[in-house]
Amino acid sequence: MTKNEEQLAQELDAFLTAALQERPLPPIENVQEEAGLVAVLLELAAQRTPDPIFFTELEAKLSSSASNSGTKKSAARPPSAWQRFISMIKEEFTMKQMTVALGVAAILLVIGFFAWSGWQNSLVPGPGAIAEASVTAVAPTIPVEEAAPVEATPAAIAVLPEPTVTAVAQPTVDPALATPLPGLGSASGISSGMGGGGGAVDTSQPVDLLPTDKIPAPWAPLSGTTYIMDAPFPTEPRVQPVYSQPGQNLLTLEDAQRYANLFGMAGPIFTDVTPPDVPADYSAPPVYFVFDGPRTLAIRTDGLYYFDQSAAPKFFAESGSYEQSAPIAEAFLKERGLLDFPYEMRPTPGGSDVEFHRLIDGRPVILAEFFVTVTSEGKVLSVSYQPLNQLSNIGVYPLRSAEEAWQKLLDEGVDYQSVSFITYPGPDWTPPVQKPYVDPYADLFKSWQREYKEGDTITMYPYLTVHVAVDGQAAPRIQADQYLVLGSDADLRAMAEYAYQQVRITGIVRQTDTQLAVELQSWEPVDPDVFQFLPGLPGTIRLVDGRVQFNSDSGETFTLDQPPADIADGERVYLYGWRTVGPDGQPSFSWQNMDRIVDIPPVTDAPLPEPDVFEPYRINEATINSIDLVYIFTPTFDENFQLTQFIVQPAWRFSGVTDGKEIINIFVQAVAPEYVQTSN
Amino acid sequence: MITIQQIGVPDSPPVGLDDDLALVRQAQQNRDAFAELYRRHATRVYRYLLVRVGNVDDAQDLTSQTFMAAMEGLPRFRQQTPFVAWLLGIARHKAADHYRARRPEQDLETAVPIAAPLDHLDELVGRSLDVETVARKLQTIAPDRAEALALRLFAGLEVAEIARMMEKNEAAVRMLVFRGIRDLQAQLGQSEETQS
Repeated sequence: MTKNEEQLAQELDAFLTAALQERPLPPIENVQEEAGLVAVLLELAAQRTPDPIFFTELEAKLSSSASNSGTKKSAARPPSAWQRFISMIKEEFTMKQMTVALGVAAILLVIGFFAWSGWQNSLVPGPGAIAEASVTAVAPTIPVEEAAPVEATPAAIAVLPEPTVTAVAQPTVDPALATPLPGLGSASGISSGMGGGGGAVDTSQPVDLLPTDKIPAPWAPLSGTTYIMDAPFPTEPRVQPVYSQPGQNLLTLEDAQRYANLFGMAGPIFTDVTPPDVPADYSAPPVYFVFDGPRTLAIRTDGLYYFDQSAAPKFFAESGSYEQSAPIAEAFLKERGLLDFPYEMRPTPGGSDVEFHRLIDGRPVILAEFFVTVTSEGKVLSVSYQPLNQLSNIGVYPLRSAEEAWQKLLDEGVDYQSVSFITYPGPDWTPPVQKPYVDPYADLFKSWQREYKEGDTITMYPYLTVHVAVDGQAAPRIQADQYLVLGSDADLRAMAEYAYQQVRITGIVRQTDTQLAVELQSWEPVDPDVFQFLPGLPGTIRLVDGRVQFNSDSGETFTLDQPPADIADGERVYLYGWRTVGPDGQPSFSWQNMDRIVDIPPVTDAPLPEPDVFEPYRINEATINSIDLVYIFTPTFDENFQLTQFIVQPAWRFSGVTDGKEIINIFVQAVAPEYVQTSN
Repeated sequence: MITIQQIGVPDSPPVGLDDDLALVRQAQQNRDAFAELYRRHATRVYRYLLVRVGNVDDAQDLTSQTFMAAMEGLPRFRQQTPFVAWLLGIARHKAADHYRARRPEQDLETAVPIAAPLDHLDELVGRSLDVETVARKLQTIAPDRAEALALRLFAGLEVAEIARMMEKNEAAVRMLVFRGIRDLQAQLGQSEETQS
């Protein structure tokens, strides 16, 4: 790989990225032919959509299958999922991926509600469907006076170390001057899957997979639902503050150091190396890292992510129950001084992770500010933090009353803009028995990955992930695949110059329960003229004089070092690995993995069973047993899909249970409609 | 001289796919909600499979298999990974199974593109290039390059997502795509020469 070729690849990728994101295309200087072919291929792809009949039938088949299996899945996370997660960490959690994970984790909670709103919005049925939706109101069966609202999640605990309830009697905004607020579901770019939109500037574009007359009936569980109101309507408040917060630059380098101290992590602060494809005029938000043994803290400008590998020895752990995890998570955060705001604890809907929701004026924000995962051993595995640390009061807005909000739901149904809902399994919900999917060919396939143990010599060809110390004092921290590179200061500094580039590393594997490392012996940049990758060479395994030999169909023979113990003589495989020339000038080969060559006999199609009747998911009845005012978290975006700010605005939450024993939360925008943006 | 115009993929959302999370949570609780995930990503998965297997029937069959397997496996989905990457991972396995079941054994040498790069893209456009042809040509180039191309151009995935799926660095993925495009150019140029 030459530097010139890498630059060309970056130029082409910049073009491709702009084309995929429908942004203005950058000038093409050196890869015009390649960009032209990319453009042709993208246009080809755009022209090919699934056949509408196939599309519709498959959806019906999926829905039918879902209905047949009871329509609901267990909310409890099975241990296997946890094992898979830990395996993923073991196998894939390089520091670069930590960045990715942070990106996921830190914005996950933001996106959670954001996407939920968008998802609701994405399901907006056509006007006709809305008009046809019938909502039946049933008079309250219990005339309640001052009964305390029943929380949808019994385990929710409110903690108010510093009550900040503000006595607000009068609105402070003038309809003529007030900033119009986005709708609850008006982060509508999400509905198109574009990852943005809505809010102050709605730039979303509708995405239609098919002409509307080909799309099956919209997913509208609350169409035709009978509601039973079993809670009193609160009469207060009638006004409420609304808040905003910048979307970026919430955490700084100084914050990174402060949080490192709070988490008791002593290492220097690192930052990642800017990828080579970043345009010169773009300044990527910094991400800071602190590494302390098995613990990693990554701080972005909009949140942080903490991960402790020691909580998962042997790269395996099971998650604890919420009841067990909640006090541990709370104590963990408190001991570090992180819970310096009024909060409410609750489990992740349908899960056992612990969420901490900020209380504003005593009302919870429907966004987990802290999200903590605790293992069944009682150890904190990870913490995600989405700070609400720069809230600004943008005015006290008049509200529609809870009763008016309820009437809006009854009159207009769920519009996914000002009215949205969410459901999740309740305590009385029983998961159905699932029929497992069996891959009939699963046993035919087998792969062998080259594995190393403590003390083995390893030769690898990774692309380097480099973190450099912010103060320039400490040696760079270099990750090569899942291995941390251990070497001299001089070697590491020299190697750091090859960030994002491919090198050949030879070293000794050093492995503990929580760390994989390679003790550097030698390294060099990969020269494609010297190192050649064999991408699946077909051939046959032969056991010769105690050695495992690979005979390619094209006549080459390689001896496999550190061969798998369970490979048999005569096995037909595709071989992947690196061909090079050894120090002695002789051809050398380093195998990476092998896949068994499988010949599947022709499949005789059996007659297809009659398709089941498609019964869309419906909530037939919902009993509302509590009403309260909460804060909803609405991100807003500019025309370039850049997050600009968050609006934290009140919504009436109607909580209850469905006839399917699910918890349902219906949110109705509380701010009076004249203060809300008109949706497109 | 070809004019490169803005190419949109209106029904394949290319960025910000983390917003699937809430929908996935819903679907893990109510499998009916999986329908929206299906609607959102069906085209993406179909296009990827179409260019990997090269014919509509197989692409439809594998799309069905992919979504059925995804729905069954959804409880095992850990939300640390973007859903679309997980879904395309299933599609990749389905395509690989399909390919393995039918792939003729081929010497590596014959799979290496040796033709000169295509000189005149205008000719290519005028030749009514179709996805099936592209699929056939992809099977003659290095598998990882073909895979990266299919995921990037036809599934519309981000480089970072592909890197994670293929267990490679992002720079490596960009290089795979670049080399894949050049290989494809060469293969299409070779085809052009053969036809002419």
